[in-house]
Parts: sequence; structure tokens; C-alpha cells
Amino acid sequence: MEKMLAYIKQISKVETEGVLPLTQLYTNSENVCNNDEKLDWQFKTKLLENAPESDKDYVIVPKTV
Amino acid sequence: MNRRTVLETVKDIKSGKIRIKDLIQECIENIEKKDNTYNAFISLNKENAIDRAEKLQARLDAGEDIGILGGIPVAIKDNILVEGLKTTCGSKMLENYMAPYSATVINKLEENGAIIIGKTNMDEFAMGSTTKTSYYGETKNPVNIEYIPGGSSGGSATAIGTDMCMVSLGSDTGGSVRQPAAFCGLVGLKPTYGMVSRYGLVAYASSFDQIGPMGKTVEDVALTLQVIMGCDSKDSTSQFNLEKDYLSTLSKGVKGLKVGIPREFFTEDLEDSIKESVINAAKVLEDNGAIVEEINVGNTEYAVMAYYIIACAQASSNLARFDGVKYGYRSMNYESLGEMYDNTWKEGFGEEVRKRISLGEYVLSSGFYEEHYLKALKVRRLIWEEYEKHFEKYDLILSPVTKVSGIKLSDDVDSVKLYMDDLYTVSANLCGYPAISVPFGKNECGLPIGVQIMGKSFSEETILRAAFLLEQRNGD
Repeated sequence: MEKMLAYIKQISKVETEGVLPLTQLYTNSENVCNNDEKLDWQFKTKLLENAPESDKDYVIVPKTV
Repeated sequence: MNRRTVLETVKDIKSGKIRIKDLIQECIENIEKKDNTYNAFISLNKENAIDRAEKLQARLDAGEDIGILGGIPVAIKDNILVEGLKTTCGSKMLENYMAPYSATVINKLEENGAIIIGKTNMDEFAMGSTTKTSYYGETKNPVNIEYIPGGSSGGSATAIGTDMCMVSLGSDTGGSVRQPAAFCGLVGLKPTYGMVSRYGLVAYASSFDQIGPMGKTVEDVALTLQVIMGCDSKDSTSQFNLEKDYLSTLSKGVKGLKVGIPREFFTEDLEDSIKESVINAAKVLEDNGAIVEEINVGNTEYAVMAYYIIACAQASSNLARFDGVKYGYRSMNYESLGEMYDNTWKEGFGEEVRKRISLGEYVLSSGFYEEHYLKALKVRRLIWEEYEKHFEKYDLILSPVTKVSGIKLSDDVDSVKLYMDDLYTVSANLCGYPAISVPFGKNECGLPIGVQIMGKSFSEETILRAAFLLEQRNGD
């Protein structure tokens, strides 16, 4: 990790005064909203099957309070 | 199967010379015979594949068109969702994760008659270039089992090289399709960012990730690209709905094209045989009418640093979802919520993934954000502007793919050195450009060497043409 940090810190040598960060390649991208559709029950079953712990229609999560 | 291209096979299937089920059985037999040695697959889709082969054959026999990949066995990197199959990302974290839906690329492949044969091994969460960071063991190189296949899409490469499938899909965030293709003597393409939908690809670094095809020939890769590309409303970064027939333009040649070779890429640590291959490839392009010139590309030495800072930052955000709450692995060893998060993270992720997440969190943290992450985004712009300037004058940029032609499985290579070896591939990801790795020459031990051809965004047609020409002249 230390070697990795030492390596990436070399980037400070590049002169970037006045350069704008490149955050996205295309300026024409738009957020796409999916239709508000009801999913079939099968999908819920699949999601619950992937949960570490579940009970009936619920994912069991560790107690927080 | 080892000499048949996808197009020839599709033709033979259509003419009745090959029965689809026989082809799939052949792949499965190869997997059963060889995969104990090579470890290319994490999971198989055996029964579904045979069932689908029978159904496709019945449709074909009834005179139906079963698509341009009708009956072709395809392997899929295990970070791309295929409904009903496990998607582990090479990690313990997702050991039992069953994909609830299929990625857009999978739907497109299946609509065109492809048969998914299984899910391939990979570096954990695509973080690596050796396929040694997989929780499911290392994969071996199909050319020489003492060597790594490269990574992170190493399983996808080895599966083709050992005839366990005909084409495969990988994902390329910093070279993960092109580098294993180079090490295994295959063709691997990273399409332009936005050309192929990422819906259903488990995210590593979202602004770099791109799904790409791998195959034995440029033709196979071009055909697969034609099938998987296209705009998708489920991925807002996917671009135009291009209708392209890359196959019809492959043999157009390179006459009149201008090709640049960056001087900066011929570093002291570049293996002589690779240097020679790039020079020979340049000669072939020149002999066939291209104008080849050396160019200077500034800041290339900082490309890898910028890449790792941005990639790790995005990874730390993307992988935060694997917290043991809703899906994936959850530690059994905790008394509080905090301890559950901590232990899930420590037990579920391997060392390389934990390291990259930590680095990502560090560069995004207050006080370090501007010095590292923001700086890297600015360097990314400088590199992009530099390449854009060159692409005003040049159609293509020719370069090596890797610094060495092979790494032994037994070699314990320093991780920073491995990162620095990504020098030639990361620029295409930083700038979103398409780039292909095509075999051209061998080293003194007989290991294949790949050369890279990069073009401006959406210039896949041109890079495929140049790659096709080099493929025809490989070994001359």
C-alpha cells in the first residue's frame, strides 16, 4: 500500500493550472428514467434468495438499536 | 473445432454439416477433459446449453432463421449477469449470488442464436492482470500452462484457446480484454465507451468499464461486436444505435490511412521481441499503403497513475454495496452492525480488492481529494486532449499491448510493477477510445505477442480493417 501511494503521488508533478477535470466523455448523455412498472413476484423471490438471511418477504438485517 | 471460425461454423450448421448439439457436446467434453488443468470456468451451463442446442436445431430444421450466431458456444466472464446462473465476480463475496436477470449483451447474444456455455474465471471484481486474484484459483495460459493467461478476463481467453468455446465476452477497464488476448494469442477488442451496454455488468470503475469480445480471429470478434453493440435505454452512457456491417469492410485494407506510433511507448523495459513485432507490424501497414509516422504523446508516464487513482476511487464507491446486508456474503462473526460490516469486508474480499478500495477511499477523503482525485481528472483531460490532437491528423495509433510477452505463474511480480505494465492499454480507457489487440509474432519461447491498434471514438471499422490485415500477414 505504501509503495502504491508513493507511486500515485508522482502525479503531483504534472502542471494542471487552469485545466478542467474530465468527469465524463460525452456531454450528450441524459439521465434515463425507467417506467414505473410493477415487477412480477418471481423477481422478488430471486432477490430474497440472494439475501444473506431472509424470512418470508423480508431480508433479515443485523439489529441496529 | 480448433480450426473453424465462427462464420464457417455457422455456415456448416446451416448446411447441416454440423449438428448444434454435437458442437455443444464437443465443447462440454473439452471442458470436462481440460478444465481441471486450466481452470477457465467458474460455473457451467451444461444442461441449459444442451437443451437450447436441441431447440435451436429444431427451429433450424423447420426452416427458421436462428440468427447470425446460431448455435455458437459463447463463454461469459463471471461479472456479466446471465439469469439463473451464478455471478461471482471471482469473489467469495458473491459466491452464491444468482443473477436475477440477464445483461443486455446476453439478451442480444441469445436473440442471435448464441449458446451460453458457462461463466469464466477472472481476477476478483476485475481487479488484476493475472487472473491470480480470483477466489476460485488461478487460470493457466492455453499456449503454455506454466504462464498466466493475463487478466482480468483470463478465463475468457483460456476458454477460447483450449476450444472450450468459440468466442467469449470479457470486460475491459484498463486492458482486461486486450492484455489476456495478447498473452493467449487471441484477438480482443475494447469497443468505444458507450458502444456496448453495461447494463448487467457488475461495475468496477464505471467511467472506464466496457464489455468487449474475444475470439480466435478478427472476423469472429467483428461479428460478435455487431451482435452486442447498440444503444440501450438501461445504460444512460450508451450511445447511438449504429447499424454496422463490419464484416463487409474487413478486407478493405489500409491504403491512405495515417498511423502514428508513440515514441514514448518504446521504454527501456519493453521486451525486444515486442518492440520488433510493433516495428514489423508498422512495416506491413506501410507496405499496404498506410502512412506510418512516429509521434510524441505527452504525459503518457502519468496515464497509469491517473487511471489507478480514478479507477480505485470509483471502485470504492461501486463496491460499497457489498456490505453483507442485502445480498452476497455476510460474516457470521459479529456482535454489532459495525463489526458485521468490518468482518464481512475482511472475509469477503481478497487482498487486492481491499487494497484498491482503501486507495480509492484515501484519494476521495477530505484533504486528499484535490491533491489526488481532482488532479487525476485534470491529467485525464490533458491526456485526452493530447490524443484528440493526434487523431485530427492520424487515423490509428499502433503500439505494444504489454511490456513482456509472458509472466510465469510462479513469478511473484510486485503489484506496482504490474500496474505500470498497463501503460499501453489504459489510455484507451481514460479517453474512451476503441482499441484492439491482435496477435503479431512470437517471442523466442514461442509465446504469442499482441500489437494494439487504437482509433478515435467509434472508429471500430477502421481498427478492425487494420487488425484484419495484420492477422493475414502474421508470421510472414
